[in-house]
Amino acid sequence: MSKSADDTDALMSAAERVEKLTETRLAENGTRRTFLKMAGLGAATATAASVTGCGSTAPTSEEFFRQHYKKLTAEDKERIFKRIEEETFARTGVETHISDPPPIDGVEFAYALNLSVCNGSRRCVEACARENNLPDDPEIRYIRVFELELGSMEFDDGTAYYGEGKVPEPKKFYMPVQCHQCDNPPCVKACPVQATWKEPDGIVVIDYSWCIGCRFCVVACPYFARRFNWSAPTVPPDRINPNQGYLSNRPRFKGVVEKCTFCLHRTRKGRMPACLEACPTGARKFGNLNDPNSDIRKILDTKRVYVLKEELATLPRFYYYFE
Amino acid sequence: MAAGSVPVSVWGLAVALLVAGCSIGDEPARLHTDHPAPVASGGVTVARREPLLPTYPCSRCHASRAPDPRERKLTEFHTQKIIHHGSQRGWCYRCHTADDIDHLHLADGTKVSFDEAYELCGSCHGDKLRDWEANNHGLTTGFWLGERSRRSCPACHDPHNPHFPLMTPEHEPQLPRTVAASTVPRESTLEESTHEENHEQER
Repeated sequence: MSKSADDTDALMSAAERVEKLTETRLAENGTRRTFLKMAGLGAATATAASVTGCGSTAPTSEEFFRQHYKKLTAEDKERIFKRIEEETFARTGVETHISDPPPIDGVEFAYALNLSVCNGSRRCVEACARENNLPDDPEIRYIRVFELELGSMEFDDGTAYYGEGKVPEPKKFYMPVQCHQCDNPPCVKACPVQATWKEPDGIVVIDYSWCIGCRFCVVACPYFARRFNWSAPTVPPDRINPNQGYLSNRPRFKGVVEKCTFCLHRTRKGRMPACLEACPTGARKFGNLNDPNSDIRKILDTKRVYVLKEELATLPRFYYYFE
Repeated sequence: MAAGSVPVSVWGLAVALLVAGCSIGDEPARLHTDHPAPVASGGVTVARREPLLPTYPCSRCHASRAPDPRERKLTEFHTQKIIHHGSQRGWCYRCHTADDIDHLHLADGTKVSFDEAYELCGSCHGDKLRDWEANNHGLTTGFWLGERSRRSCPACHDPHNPHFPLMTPEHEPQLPRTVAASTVPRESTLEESTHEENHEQER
């Protein structure tokens, strides 16, 4: 550093002063106005420090803000939910109810899909769309169903754009693909603003209000499970599902990413996901991985189970099996 | 003193290596290692069949008709019931009970109700019954954490023709706009052509 010792001392002491002042102010009287004042001052100091190259002890703006994030209280959440409900009502005239069910202690979700009986009817796709308030134009669907040659796992030879005749077609099998809620999720690592994360029950969630729409996660996902809202999503009022979760099917907006959340507004209240209940063949199975007597554990214990793209070490929670 | 400490450190190194080796070898495949006490799943009830049968109880008609055990082509009633099950042969009273038409019976003569038809199905299809009882075959809806409802075999498989019927799938996915645009001929614009037209042109 070519700076003189005097300059450095002056700057560092300024930074320390700001830090100390902020801490005292927050401790004694943490109103939002003083906090914002202090935050602005801190950021300005940090910028000055980084410009002069003497920021070894001065907090960077990132460090400063990280220490002073305010965690939402239950009342804050209620206020936010109420605001969103009112906005939805003003826009569509539909009374909705938003909740944010927390992960259940001791529960880790997993999903299994029986490829021997899936008949490619796409009932799960549409049930999911209705449950999660997905728009029809431009169409967003969390589940894609692939029609593949029997005995083949070549996705290049198969197609998701089938539907001429009745299903199942002879010599074909059907493979629905949706978010695998990976234990080693590439999408979460790709997010530059930590708007998406993995919850203790295994579900990877997105805070739509925090998402900046960079779409890094969309490209990072090897299963193409994430969808981007290229335009403002619209759902006809008579199709809006009023039972909404803050991290799942609440209203989204243009420029954010969304995906399957195992219907967490249902599953965290003990219910089965919508796709499972809509399946006419009973190919879909869901349950708690930690309960040795759950449906899902019996499948994992007794069936030939595999995961898609195992070689990528994403550790999916979505299993395929044969009978 | 110094001579004694050398073997100790060697042993220590060996033990450390061993421990390190073990921990690498035992590395769990999944990231969740600290399992809290499991939250148990709930109980299962089998959905009833009898309220769904349009002509149940059968005795409403059969009480006034004497059972005819001869195998023949039915021309008067139940003409649509054609057996496509197993060997394509069989007769009503293999499963239905001639002297108690509101019940089915197993091979040993044990009577079962229409709600318990799975007992009859499972007497041949034991592997499917086992999977069904474990909720691994067939549709189970409701609560994974609480009461679930399991569909009986005839809910999906007509016992007279048990192959799962073919279905018309829901509409195919909308093509991405870029793909849809690339299939549109040069003279027409994207705004003028609907997605259905794009599909037609692609075919």
